[in-house]
Amino acid sequence: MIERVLENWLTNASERSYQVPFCQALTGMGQKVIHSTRHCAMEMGKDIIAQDDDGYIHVYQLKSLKGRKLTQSEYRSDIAPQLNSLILGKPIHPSIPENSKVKFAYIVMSGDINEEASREIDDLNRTLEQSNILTRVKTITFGELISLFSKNLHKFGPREPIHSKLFLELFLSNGKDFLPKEKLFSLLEVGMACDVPPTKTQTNEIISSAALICSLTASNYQMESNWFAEFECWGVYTICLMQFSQKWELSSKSIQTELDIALKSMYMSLEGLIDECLEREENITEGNALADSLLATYRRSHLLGLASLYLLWSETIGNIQQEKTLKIMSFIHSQIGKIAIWGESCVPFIFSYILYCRRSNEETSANKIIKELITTIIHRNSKGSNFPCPSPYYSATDCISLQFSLPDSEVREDFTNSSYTLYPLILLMTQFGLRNELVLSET
Amino acid sequence: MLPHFYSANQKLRERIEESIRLRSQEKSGAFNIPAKILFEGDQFGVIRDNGDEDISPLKKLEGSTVITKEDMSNNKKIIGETIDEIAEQFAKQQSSMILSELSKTPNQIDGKDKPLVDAILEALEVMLIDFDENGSAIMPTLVMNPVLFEKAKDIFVLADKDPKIKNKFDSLMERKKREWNDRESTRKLVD
Repeated sequence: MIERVLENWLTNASERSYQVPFCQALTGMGQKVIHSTRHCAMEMGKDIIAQDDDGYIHVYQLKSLKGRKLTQSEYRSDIAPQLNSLILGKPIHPSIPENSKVKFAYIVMSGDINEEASREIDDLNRTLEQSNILTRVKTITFGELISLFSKNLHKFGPREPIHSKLFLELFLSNGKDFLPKEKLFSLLEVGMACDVPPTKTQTNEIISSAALICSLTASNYQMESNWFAEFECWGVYTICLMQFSQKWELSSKSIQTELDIALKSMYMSLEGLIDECLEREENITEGNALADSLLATYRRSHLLGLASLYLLWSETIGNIQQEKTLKIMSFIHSQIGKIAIWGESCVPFIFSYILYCRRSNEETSANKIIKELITTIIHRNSKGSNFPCPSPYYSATDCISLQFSLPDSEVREDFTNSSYTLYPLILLMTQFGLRNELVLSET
Repeated sequence: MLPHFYSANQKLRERIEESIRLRSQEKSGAFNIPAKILFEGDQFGVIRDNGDEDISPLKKLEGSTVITKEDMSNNKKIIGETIDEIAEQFAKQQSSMILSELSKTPNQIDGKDKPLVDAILEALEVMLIDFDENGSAIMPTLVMNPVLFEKAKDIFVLADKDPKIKNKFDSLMERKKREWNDRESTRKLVD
């Protein structure tokens, strides 16, 4: 079953879909991934740059063929022009030493290559040899990718029926809703479980297999351009990776590459979401417009938090584009006054905005929203309230089901006079020097 | 795609559509007409007791409205108004369709130059009336325009007081009971 799922996934996958598990597989093979493209306008002609233990550089160009065969004409029109850059263009990257040599240039394709195209590559390699150029062009085709990916998945993928069921549920989801994170956590927990401390090889295999499971899970969400679900998927993977590392007391250096790849995937998903947001301007409606009129304020809370997070993250990694930053800031400011919280699981999104305000010297806005948040939670969880604020253990979907008494609502608790986030918010107010206002709020 | 709330959106959409359906039935007076789901096929047929067959294709009813961005900010108002507006459109189409189909049936009564009581009795005469286990008639719903309704609502009170009308009504009910008994006794339980 695993192989059928893999084949199905790879046949439909875009370059972006199989890029991360491919990077993780390279790490598992002992290569250090130096660069992995964001597939942005500034293409360097090299999707992945990796370095082996001998210091040689390997460059990879990914192609999505959807299971087809690469024809000679396609090779000449599409691939050949990029090969010059792949072979002869010196990879420019701060982490690549000046005198590094490109040993192999790979064309990685989710399909096969026909004989004529294969012959052209052989001819090219002969020409390179005769010209005393070190680099050789190799191909990694569909079957080789399947072998590479399935090797570890057989060992560490789902085996028990219950886990196979979870896996299939995730893989076959429609991709439009929120990611069912509990299911993914369960699956990764099982896949990354060890009875004894894993060896280095086993660690690489486990991590590689977990990345592949996440990619398979994220595939339908990617097809729907469900950026937030992708973001959460790689977030779950990152947490599981850190948990695994902590459990077996692995050094941070040993998982740094994998962590970087996962965090980059998260950032890219977030960027995709923000770009779409800016493109759509004020039209944030999704699905049935009438039903959505009841959900739009919650979507705004999501976007406010995620846009704030994106700005903070971009600043941290030094990816600041002035014009885009101004547009995002304008978008953030336009959402204030139009947001609502579905439950306490919304608080992290608001907190993200508070952090952004504090970083941008907009303390007044930050202070105002903390006070409003505290007031809202107290008011909604007071005795007699018929619009409670469920705890952070309930997702947005659960809270909305409760609010509108939708069928299959799973919320059974009473939230009167209880809150998980009130105390930390009050501490935050104190830290921000708003103790006096807190007293006033209480009265 | 922005964060969708897909399952919540779907469930809310179903609830809104159900409200539109119920409201349109109320408005069209069609709430007592039994509804059936057609799982297969693209036509619907009726075979009457007298052997008449009536086949009709499925007809599409649709309603639409425009919701602006400004409207979206006042969601309670816009949902209520939209349900009413679309239900009204459906109700008109449903009533028009029902009346159009009814006009094709042989069971039409010309109420012109006739006292209302007689017209109603004649209408009941051509209708199938069932009875419950206590022998009481399960009276059908008569759909009429509001002006006629005002005149008609006192008819059954009058019928009790006027012996002539009462006699006519009672004989009618006896005939209907006999028809019902015949139908029940000739009903095929097993094929």
